Amino acid sequence: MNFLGNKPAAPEESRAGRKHADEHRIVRLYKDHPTCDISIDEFERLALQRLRVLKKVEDLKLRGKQDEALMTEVMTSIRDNNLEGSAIEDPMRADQLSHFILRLSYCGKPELRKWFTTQECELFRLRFIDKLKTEDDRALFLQREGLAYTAVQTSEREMVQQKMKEVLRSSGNDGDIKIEQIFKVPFISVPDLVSQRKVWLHGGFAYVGQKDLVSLVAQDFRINLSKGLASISRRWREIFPDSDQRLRPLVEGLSQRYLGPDLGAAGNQARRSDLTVANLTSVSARHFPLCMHNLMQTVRRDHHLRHQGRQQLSLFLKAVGLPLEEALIFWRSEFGPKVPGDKFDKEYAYNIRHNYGKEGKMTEYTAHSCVSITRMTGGADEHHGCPYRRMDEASLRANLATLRCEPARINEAMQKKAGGHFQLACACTFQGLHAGADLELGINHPAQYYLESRRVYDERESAGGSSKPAAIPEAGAGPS
Amino acid sequence: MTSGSPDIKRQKIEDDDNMKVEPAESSESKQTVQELMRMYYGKLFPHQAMYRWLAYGNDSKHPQADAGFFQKREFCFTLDGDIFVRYQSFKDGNDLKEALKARCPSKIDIGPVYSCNPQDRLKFGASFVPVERELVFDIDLTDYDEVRTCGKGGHICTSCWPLMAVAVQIIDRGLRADFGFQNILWVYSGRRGIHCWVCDPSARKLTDEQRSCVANYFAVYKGHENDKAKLALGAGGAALHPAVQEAVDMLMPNWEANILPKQRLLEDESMCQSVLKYVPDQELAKSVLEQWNAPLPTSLAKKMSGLDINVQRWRMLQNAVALKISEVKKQSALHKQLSRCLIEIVLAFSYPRLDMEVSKKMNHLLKAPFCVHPKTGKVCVPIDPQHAFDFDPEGVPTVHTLLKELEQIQDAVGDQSELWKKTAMAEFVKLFQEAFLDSCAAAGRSEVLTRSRTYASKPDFSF
Repeated sequence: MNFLGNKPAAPEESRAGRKHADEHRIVRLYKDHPTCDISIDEFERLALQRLRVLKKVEDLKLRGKQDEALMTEVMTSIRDNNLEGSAIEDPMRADQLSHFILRLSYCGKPELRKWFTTQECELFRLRFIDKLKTEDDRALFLQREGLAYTAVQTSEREMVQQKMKEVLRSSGNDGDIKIEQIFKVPFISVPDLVSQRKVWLHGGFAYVGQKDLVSLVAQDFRINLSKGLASISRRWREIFPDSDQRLRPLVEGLSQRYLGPDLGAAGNQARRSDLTVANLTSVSARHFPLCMHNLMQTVRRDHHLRHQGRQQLSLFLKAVGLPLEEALIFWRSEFGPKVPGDKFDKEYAYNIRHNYGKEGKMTEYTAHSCVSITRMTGGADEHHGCPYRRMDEASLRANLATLRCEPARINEAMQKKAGGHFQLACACTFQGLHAGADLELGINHPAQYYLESRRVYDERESAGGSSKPAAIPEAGAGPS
Repeated sequence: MTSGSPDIKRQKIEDDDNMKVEPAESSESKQTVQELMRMYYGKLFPHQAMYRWLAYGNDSKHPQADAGFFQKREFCFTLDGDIFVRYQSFKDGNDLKEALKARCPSKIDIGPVYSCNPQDRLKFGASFVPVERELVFDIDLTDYDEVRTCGKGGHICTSCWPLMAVAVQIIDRGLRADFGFQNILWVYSGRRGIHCWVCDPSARKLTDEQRSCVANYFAVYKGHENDKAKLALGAGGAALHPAVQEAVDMLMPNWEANILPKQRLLEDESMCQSVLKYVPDQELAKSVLEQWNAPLPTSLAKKMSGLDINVQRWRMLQNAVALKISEVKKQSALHKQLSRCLIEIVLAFSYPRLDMEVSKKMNHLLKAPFCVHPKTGKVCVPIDPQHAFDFDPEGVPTVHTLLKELEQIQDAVGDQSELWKKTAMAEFVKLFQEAFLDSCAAAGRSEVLTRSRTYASKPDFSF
């Protein structure tokens, strides 16, 4: 299928020999379209191979994997999925084709574009670090892709060097720091480095060291990809006329495949029609994760909740199936002592309807996942975010004790918290409250916690009278 | 549908929840402020200066100027009874003046410049998008509640103003030196905070993502965790990023001269406790507390006589930490923590606390300068960043004092036009025009001129 031009396929060369030496060439900005014929089977196979890798990248990032661990797993995934071709294929060809096929599939809706761009940029970043290890490799890459970044002039160099050292020391680099090449770029070219204060800024320019070159290049990769997607999107009808019944359905369907369970959608599965204002209290005490439980208690106690807490709880309640009408009753009655009915209708009801997609943009908002909840910070009088992160150990212990969590699990949770593993701490609490029930997937979403909790209770109920049938038998009390 | 942001409403409504009515506000009832507003808009509000600002040189003098530029700017009026009227737009300063006089909003917010006149937004559907907007910052004293002793919530006084003044200094320096921006307007919000408008052409065109990155650059204070301020300082111990180091260098002299004594941080018992939380060694913290509570030893009495008690106690803490540092091993983790703990305290208690959401989105509304705060009656007047410490939030003219002044002038015979020049307003309008608007308009003009040059030199043959 020749879909983007009419040039003949590139002549095949002896691949085996140059595969290793040319490995670094796989890192590229994809400025040239592929021009070759491929079968429709190969078309689909290549696309799915890449999708699996991108999905894996997303998954690992969501789990908070970083650095080495992230790199190893992604590289394994690339090999497992033959992203760089199987032994007999040209790695460049497989990689390039799959990238451009997915461009076709992901150029349409903004959220598809965003997803694809994010994952591709991350993949690019990892490969850049993995494959371009020496300065020569990187110089070659810059030359090959025609990226001419301005290096710092000798006249400026001394001052800049001094400041760069300060920047590097501030992020924990000790000892003698050697600074080689420094690039000077407008600060908007490296937003992530500016955010993290990893560059020296002066007069609107960011000074980027060799080590952070990847961020600079990644920005160009992103820009190039966005342009590419926009251009395909414009030419969509030209490439796939309505009469095309062969390739077009395949391309359109790709973005729907292998997206796996995304965390926002976990909420949809969690919808059970039995949640009402009447049983909300008992259900929340038993099945809500600590973050939501806390917010419920705060709103009970204070008859008010600051904006972010309100959002976090309201979206969660929606996700676990509290209907809009019930939600309005809940908030109105909880706020009642402080906020009179008409004031409530005027100031708060809008937001709640908005969350349910009944106002403004009419978008169905999804509940926050653990990843976004743990990232939240706030003032001292705000209660949103992840309690395992935001509370100090003493108050967290007290809280868990009130919930009657098993003391051993509380200790375990505290260790996880101290190590910065807040979701694992939450999983410990889950086990402590559910008599050690298994949690295969860990906790990634408050709605998932809720769902698992309901499942455990349901199973136990159906297993018969005993209240803790799933409890692990005491050591030594096994059948003899 | 439009992409109207409900966050703005939510946020502002929420702010009101937390306000406690103070005597100053209730004495002049809200109603009276409303009635006075018509007079204020008619005689005092500087429409022409506002128009000149927001037109950014797009006036009829240049053939390449975008004559409809000002009209694509969203204004949002808050009418009596907290009714939000969004997507208002005006042809020019006079049009704005007439609308203000007719509708008398209690508050005016300024939104972004859109791709078309916001009043025609329904016609344009999805192509109605914000295209540019000043980069803005909002700092509220409410966010400092756990580190100030003089009052809470909407309270503001000369004891907590230094926190705002130092915030102005730090952010202003960063914006100018680090980011290279030049046209920066600082405004007192009329109640308990300050706003900053960065108006350079390049700042106005930043995308949401880029706005976030600028805001994050300044966000050293990241909220509270475990009853301690969470500070984003990196892993470098006492080695700080040059920008943070600059901030510390600006904070240190103020810390002893203003913030410590005025806030009486080390006299207040609970504040002492929260200060000591940053000391990494518990034993050390305990011994410092004992020192503080014991009478001053004679060896120190002479050296520290005449010093404020808060400063005295701070010096004791400094000495104790320095002594401990000399005792521990150089490469140890404790050494690193100790060498940073004093900096952490200063940053935790006085580093600017930005309301990040306001800065991150192009379409976030922000109250216009020279607006009157509906509760206090105070005018949102510009602040000279060079003299932020001299600014007196309690001495700001209110709509009442201004109109009283006006009455007296009107009784006298003489020129009846531009009466505001004879009131307390004059000083602030002058500051707005001379310290900000003149250079800002010049930048706008040169932007318009470059545009005309590029158009002239690159004829567009696309069709």
